Amino acid sequence: MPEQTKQRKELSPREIFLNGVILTNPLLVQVVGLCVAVTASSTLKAALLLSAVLSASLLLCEAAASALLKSAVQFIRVATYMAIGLSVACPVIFFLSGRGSPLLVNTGIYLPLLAANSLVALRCEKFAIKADVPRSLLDALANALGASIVLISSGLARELLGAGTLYGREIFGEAPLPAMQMPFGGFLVLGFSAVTLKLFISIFMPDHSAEMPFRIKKTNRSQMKKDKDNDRDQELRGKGQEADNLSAREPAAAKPVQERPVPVPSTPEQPKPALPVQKEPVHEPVPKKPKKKKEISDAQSGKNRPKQFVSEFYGTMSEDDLFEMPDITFEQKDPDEAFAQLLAELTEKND
Amino acid sequence: MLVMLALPAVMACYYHGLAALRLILICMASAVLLEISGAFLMRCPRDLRDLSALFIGAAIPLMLPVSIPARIAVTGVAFGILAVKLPLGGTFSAPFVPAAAGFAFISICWPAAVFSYPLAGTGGAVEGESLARMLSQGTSIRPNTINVFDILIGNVPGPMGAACIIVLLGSMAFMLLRNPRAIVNVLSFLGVCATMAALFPRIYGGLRLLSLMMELCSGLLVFAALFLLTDPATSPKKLYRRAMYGAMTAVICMLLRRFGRFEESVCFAVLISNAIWPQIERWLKRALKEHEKKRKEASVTDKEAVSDA
Repeated sequence: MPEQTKQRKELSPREIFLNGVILTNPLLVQVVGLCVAVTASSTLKAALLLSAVLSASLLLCEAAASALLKSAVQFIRVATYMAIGLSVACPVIFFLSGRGSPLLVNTGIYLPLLAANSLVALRCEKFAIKADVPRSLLDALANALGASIVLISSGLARELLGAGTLYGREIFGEAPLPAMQMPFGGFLVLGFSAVTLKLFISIFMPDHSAEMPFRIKKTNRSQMKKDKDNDRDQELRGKGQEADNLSAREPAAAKPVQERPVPVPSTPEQPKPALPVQKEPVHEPVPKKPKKKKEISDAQSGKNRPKQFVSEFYGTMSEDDLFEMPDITFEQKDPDEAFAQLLAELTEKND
Repeated sequence: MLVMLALPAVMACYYHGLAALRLILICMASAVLLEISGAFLMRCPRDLRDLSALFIGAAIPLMLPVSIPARIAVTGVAFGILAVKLPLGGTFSAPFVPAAAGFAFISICWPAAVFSYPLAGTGGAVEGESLARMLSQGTSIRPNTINVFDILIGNVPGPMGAACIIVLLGSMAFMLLRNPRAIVNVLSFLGVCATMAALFPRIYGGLRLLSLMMELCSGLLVFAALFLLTDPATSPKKLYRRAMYGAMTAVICMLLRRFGRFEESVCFAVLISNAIWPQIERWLKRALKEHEKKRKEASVTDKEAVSDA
């Protein structure tokens, strides 16, 4: 896990860009800041305006968060993002209201609300305060581009289908689907865009398709049953693979140790004494274990149990094997001393 | 369900002629084509044997006036199949009734075309005033405004498959024979609708019996109860839950009829119920489990008390 987080922090510029634009698209995958896309971007002009303001505030906020606000308290940081957002949105609002533009009416409350956009706060808090300025700027650019593409395409489609116009110019005589101008149409367009993005990723970037957070269901009962069976099989295989992986991680020296049933008891001076115990095979049949335990317990019963144990311990391996074992005591200490200590411990335990 | 739909389709053809038959056939053919092409594009396994595509293709035009352009009806079918049925899991998994979603979509897009009903026998030339519109206008219905027999046989302006109440009652009888569990949805829905219509009349003079009759016979109420509310994917399985589901839909429907924007809102009520019901069912199951646990605990304590005694 720490390696994964380290990898996430050290994304390459290409990965940052791809994540922002496609793989974790803020509107279609992260589903952040949807109200702007659903309600306000019903025309191409409104979508262009909103995406420009959003991009500017995102760039400025991420740059400020990365350069200045790393040591600030969280509520001060968030307040600063809002102040920066307002400094971008207010001039635009005053400019449009001065010109009496209908865009201000079309965008409604959502243009001023961009100052407190959740996307800005999310990216700043999630990425910018942990990264340097160039990376933050790249992330801001990628996310702004990803959001803008969705907003503009949604505005274009909704204006074309809902009003029959394109950038205010009439294309169709009659609107093909007037409901697309409503927020309901925005949800539809975003839903289909998300499906398209999913298909795009599964076709052109199949390595990343498993990371997508949503899956399309299968359609009939027989298929659902098959899916359940497949899932079970995969789970079982996964368990088997885990076991295989565990055994694969063991060094090659584990095999002769597995053949020897006698465990090496741990001592306080040995930091890694349980090597034979670690090398116990995970996929080994379970019912054999109690038999071995029984044998050991039978063998250990009696007054001279430590001696029997030691004799068995030495009887099962040659001297070369013994010194080949990666036992720390044999590396650090004299073998006779280590053996005497081991014997003493065993006697203590058994007593 | 298709057999049940055949009866209203025959009556629609009887009243509106070949125009109705043409619209139904176009929608059914386009439904099959859309199902095949959509399943191919979305890489879903297609299964035409469940006949749900044909059902959607037949149900949507029967909820519309005969004068509607075919492209609007086909758009509704396309929405039901391509935006609701296939992407959301298919016939047995879609959380919404595709036919209701298709009708709702076109009634939002083209309300004027969807809610303008021609007089029967005029071939769509003369527009009439439907019962639902008269009810939505408040006190426009008075005693002896409309002949009750005409309402029962469907000789009034209305959706081409939903106006003839007698035929729909025949379909209900068929359902009672073939799928008696589903009739619980229908009866609970109609019962609550009738109760609310009698309690809160929307006709002149507040005549409760007439209000009840007009509300039940207007619009798509009986049609939706029979064909949309009994959808196997969205309807609950247990009988008391079916009754609750029907009652909840009825309350939403009557509220939408009274306060909603459109004169006919039963499809929206069905869709809202589809969205709400899974959560309610979850709460019900949880409450039942807790009740069962408490009952078991109480029985154990009683036994202990008896054994102590």
